[in-house]
Amino acid sequence: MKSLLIISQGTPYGRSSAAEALDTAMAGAALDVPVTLLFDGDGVFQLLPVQAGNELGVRNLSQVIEALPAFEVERCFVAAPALAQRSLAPETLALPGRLLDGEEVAALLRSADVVLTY
Amino acid sequence: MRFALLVQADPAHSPGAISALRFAEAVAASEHALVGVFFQGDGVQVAQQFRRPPRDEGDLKARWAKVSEHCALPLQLCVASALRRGLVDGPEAERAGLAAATLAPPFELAGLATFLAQMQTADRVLTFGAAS
Repeated sequence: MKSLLIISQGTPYGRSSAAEALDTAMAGAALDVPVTLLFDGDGVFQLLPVQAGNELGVRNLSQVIEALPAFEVERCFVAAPALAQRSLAPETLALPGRLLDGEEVAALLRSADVVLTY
Repeated sequence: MRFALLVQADPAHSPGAISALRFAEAVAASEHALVGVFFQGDGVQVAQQFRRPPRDEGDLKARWAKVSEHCALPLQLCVASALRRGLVDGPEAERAGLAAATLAPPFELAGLATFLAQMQTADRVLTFGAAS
């Protein structure tokens, strides 16, 4: 089974790509594809702990991200440089996984069979 | 080499949509093969039956249909992405009591599992039009 790395780099509510990345990750895990999810770029805004997606009439993504382990998406990482570039302190976020520095992100990209960007 | 394509670009908003089509046409004309073309997110918009692009821009869906026929390959849309954008096939239109199907044949609705299976059989997976 080929491993899948999904890079989620879109803002949570500006477009639908963030929700699609999560859907694809959950579908992959349900089919026993080894899935890794990386939040990078503006995707780190999905990790802000207080979100009111429901008021926009869409799913609240922070709740979906919190539920990822229940859908067997257990390998999640966050690109540390993306936080620094946006002046976001890790302790103010709901982190679904470990922070990776630039070199670790590069290693993750090299190790995956298939990389999908959203 | 066997390629699977994931098309996320909206033809009205992003050059990724035509890049995907050109890539598919080039594969079809080569010794390589396509194992699947899957449209997700805004990429599904290419299959709108009622889309009327300006005359000098060409009709991407007609060119996709040619690739599909030439390669005997289905063109599949993520069903969740399609339904939320008003793209329904005949059975779905009937089920929902809608006046007409909006999905142009030979495009069809499929689940993400279809794409994930294509991914497993391909030598390379290419995405077109991810968020920049």
